Amino acid sequence: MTKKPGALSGNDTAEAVVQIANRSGLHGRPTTMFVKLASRFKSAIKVHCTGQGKEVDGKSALAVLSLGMEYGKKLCIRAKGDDAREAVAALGALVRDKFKED
Amino acid sequence: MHTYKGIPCMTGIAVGEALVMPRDVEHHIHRRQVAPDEAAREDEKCRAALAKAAEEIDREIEQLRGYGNDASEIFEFHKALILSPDLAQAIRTHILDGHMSAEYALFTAMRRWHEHFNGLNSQTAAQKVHDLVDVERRIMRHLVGGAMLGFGSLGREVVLVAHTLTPSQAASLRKTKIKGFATDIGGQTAHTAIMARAMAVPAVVGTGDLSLRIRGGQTVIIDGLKGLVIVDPDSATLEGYREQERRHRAAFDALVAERDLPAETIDGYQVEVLANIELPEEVEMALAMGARGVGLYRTEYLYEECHEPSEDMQYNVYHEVARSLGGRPCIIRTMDLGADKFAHEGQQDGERNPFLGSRSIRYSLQRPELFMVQLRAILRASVAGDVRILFPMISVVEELREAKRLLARAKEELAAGGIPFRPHIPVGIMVEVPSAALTVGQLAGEVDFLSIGTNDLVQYSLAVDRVNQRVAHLYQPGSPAIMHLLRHIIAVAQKLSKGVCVCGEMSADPRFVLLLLGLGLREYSVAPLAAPLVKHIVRSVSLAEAEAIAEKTRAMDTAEKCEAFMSERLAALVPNLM
Repeated sequence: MTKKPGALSGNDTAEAVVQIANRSGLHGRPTTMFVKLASRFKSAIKVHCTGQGKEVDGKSALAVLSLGMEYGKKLCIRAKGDDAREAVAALGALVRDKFKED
Repeated sequence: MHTYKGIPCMTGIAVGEALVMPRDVEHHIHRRQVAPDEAAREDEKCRAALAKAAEEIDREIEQLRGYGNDASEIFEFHKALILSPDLAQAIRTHILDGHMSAEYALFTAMRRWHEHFNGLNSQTAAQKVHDLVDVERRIMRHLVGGAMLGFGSLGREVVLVAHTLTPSQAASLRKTKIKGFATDIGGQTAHTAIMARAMAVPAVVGTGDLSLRIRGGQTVIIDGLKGLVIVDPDSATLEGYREQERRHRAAFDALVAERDLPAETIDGYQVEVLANIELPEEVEMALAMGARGVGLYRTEYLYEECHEPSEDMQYNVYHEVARSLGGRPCIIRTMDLGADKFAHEGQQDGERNPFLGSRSIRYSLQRPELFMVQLRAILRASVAGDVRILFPMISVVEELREAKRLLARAKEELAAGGIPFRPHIPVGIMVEVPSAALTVGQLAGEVDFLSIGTNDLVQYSLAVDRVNQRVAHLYQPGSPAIMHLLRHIIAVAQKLSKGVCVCGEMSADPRFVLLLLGLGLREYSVAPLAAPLVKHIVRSVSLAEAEAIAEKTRAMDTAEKCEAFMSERLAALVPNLM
């Protein structure tokens, strides 16, 4: 479930760090939303909890959930591929929007 | 190496590969290796199952449309979990590199996620373990084609580690090669315990969450003597237990070889060895082990399988037991529900102390409509052999009289309906409460035979709950008080010419076999597998020697002295015993 950082392919790269703003954290529904959105992009998307080196597949619900992202923690989103920037922008916005919760 | 402590419910040692059945996973998984050329097929099978599981969720979401978002969100989440590329990848790696079957690969992959989620310092993730279990069940169902695998197909010897077993699961284990059991929950009277005793394999119950901590295929030792389950033992431990297992088997085989020799002392006194059974199938084992009949047929199992077993259902079972015994004794104990045994619905509601509450005969007399059904069934079956009735836990004579009154009424009802039964069916009582032991002369005058239940007698006399670790050391069968009661009961029975049998665990303890013989006991009822052992001990001594031992213990003031002395005499008189 852990991949080495920097194993992304494609040309463009983008990266953003966002703080989990919804109270209940990355639980079932937000995880599903995140993964579904990530899967719409061609770019490879990797995520990790800042300060903890483990980087996982942003298109895998099991993997995203396994990060245990609770309220206040910071999520680093990295994308590599043709639509990397759009992907990071959209995913970052989803997290900042609190997954339409709260 | 990890050691788990539980409650021992069938003695012996089993070493084997774990077959794991954790909570909520209905399908049992055992480690199955596949040949390299089969791996592609297993992988394909798994992909298909994942796809089918996801499609199934789509259909369910469709059905839920219009019922609000909450429900379908959970399904969406589960679908996302199933479609996680990591999951498919992990399963694929286990199949291709680990040569695992599809089921085992899924199971193994899921266990790793479980461990990971449980280890996270996050409430959010920890709560998701339930979703994982649900998802795993769903995929597994598609993987095994919707049907639960039967245990009967097990090809080799394994040790079963389960959260718990349903009655039907336990029943399906009867004819398998399972070497031993361990379950997370349950007590000595759980299905697992009953089944383990019937199958004569070691078992430990109440191990906590073992089934979630173990992986299929890990080496497991079940120590049914100490109540231990050892996972991944180090080589010294494993070798030690293997040696013990071999020694047990060799000693047991030697005893079994002479099982049909009479239970007769060196100086020519005959003793009767009968069997305790719980299931009709055990009759076969009992007879094969040289038992002369059934001294205690426990009927609680029927009430566990079916809440209120019908008269016909019970009649069929009792009739079958009596018939297969072919005229040998068949002592049926009426329902002994409650306390440590299976409790009937609502039986113990609001009871602060079930052991002193409405259990056993007390409950039967409070539920005459239920009790009458059993009495009629036993009476009807009595024509098939030498059926006798045993009332448990009599503490005052009024209870015995009331039970006999109901029995007489059951006879009248059958007679009125022209249904045949044995009119003078022998009636006995269990002597297992101190009050019954002390007034045994009075009680014996109103029955045909007595049966001493030593487990409860020791517990009630010494006021010790032996499952309570803080006081378990005070549970002393060899205490002077117990010796005094046993001496009294046996002497009174002899004086009144009433048959008396001991059917508790004491009667299969080699030291006490010797002592009880010396106290005048001539009837033992033991677990089928213990019958050859009891016969062997009886054959190894003279009655004079046994009486001398019993006489010597009279002066001993502690259980420790008594038991040490018995052990010493046993070793001298019956060498090479286990």
